[in-house]
Amino acid sequence: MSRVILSPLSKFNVLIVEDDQLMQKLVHDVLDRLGFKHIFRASNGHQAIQQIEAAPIDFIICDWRMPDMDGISLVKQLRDMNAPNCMIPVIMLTGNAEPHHIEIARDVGVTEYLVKPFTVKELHRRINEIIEHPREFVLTENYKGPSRRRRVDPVKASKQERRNGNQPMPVKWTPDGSR
Amino acid sequence: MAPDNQSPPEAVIFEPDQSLKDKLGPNISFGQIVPPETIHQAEKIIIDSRQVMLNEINIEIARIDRAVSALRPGQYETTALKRIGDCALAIVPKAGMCDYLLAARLAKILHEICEHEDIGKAHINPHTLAIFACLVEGIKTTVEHNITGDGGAIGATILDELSKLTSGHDFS
Repeated sequence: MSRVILSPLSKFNVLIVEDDQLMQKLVHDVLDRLGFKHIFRASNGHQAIQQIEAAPIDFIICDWRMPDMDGISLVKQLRDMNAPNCMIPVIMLTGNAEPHHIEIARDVGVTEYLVKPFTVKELHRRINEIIEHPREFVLTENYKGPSRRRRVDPVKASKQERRNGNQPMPVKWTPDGSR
Repeated sequence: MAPDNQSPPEAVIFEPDQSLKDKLGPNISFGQIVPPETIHQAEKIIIDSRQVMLNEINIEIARIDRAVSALRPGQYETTALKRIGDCALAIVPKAGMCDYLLAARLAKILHEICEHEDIGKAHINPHTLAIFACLVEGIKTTVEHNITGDGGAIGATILDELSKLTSGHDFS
């Protein structure tokens, strides 16, 4: 009798929030191919909130511009939730590529920022970041979200240290993942 | 100078949540679970969706074309501009993923113009219409003639034409 070995990624619950049905399907199929099997879908922020309240979502991939409730409002509402759900990592996948857009997303507590058109490699990198390098979660009067400073990658830090001959500094948070 | 009696804002800091990492299991990384071959196979899904994306791009182009044709000089066209801007934005990722980088760039410019505060508040004028026509023609030409990448010489011509039309207009 053959035994099916499931990828550890099949334990993850991922939520895609995207109003464009083609993009939603594309992201779904890409995630499925990468090994994620529990993929939930929503077409706007309201539907996403319902899904978040109904199932333990591990991370969210979310568009910005959507009818009824956009991605920024969704992240705001999510971060304001009085429950552990409020810390769910959010990858914003959007066509908005201007620096002020990135700033807005950062200020509402978006974890990672990815501009469309995207490649699987870039999406993989953002997912890797939230799984492998989770950041502290900060609550202040004006901000609820991941720490805006990334943790130091020990390998990169030691290389940098060798080059500079000094102590590594924490890498500044950049929403597009660049360092 | 008066002493600063204000205490710094309080912050509560939670340790990084390791639950996602824990789900992977001990001594295994996301990079090991998803090796480059799998990423390559997933990229193929995007490549295989090219025709479907192209169909949707053409639908959006037709919508933009109709909306631009209906614009009348001297009128406030806030709703129409919003519609054109939304269609243009919908083209950007799909065109980009089909390697129509020039079309994606032109669609992005069109979207930004439609979103520009001064354009939204003003009457439509012949100059704005000329810019729209140039952008729409550029997007159509790129897709119809399967001009991939940055469009080479044709791309340079379209952008040059656009630059002449928009000189003196700050759409940044």
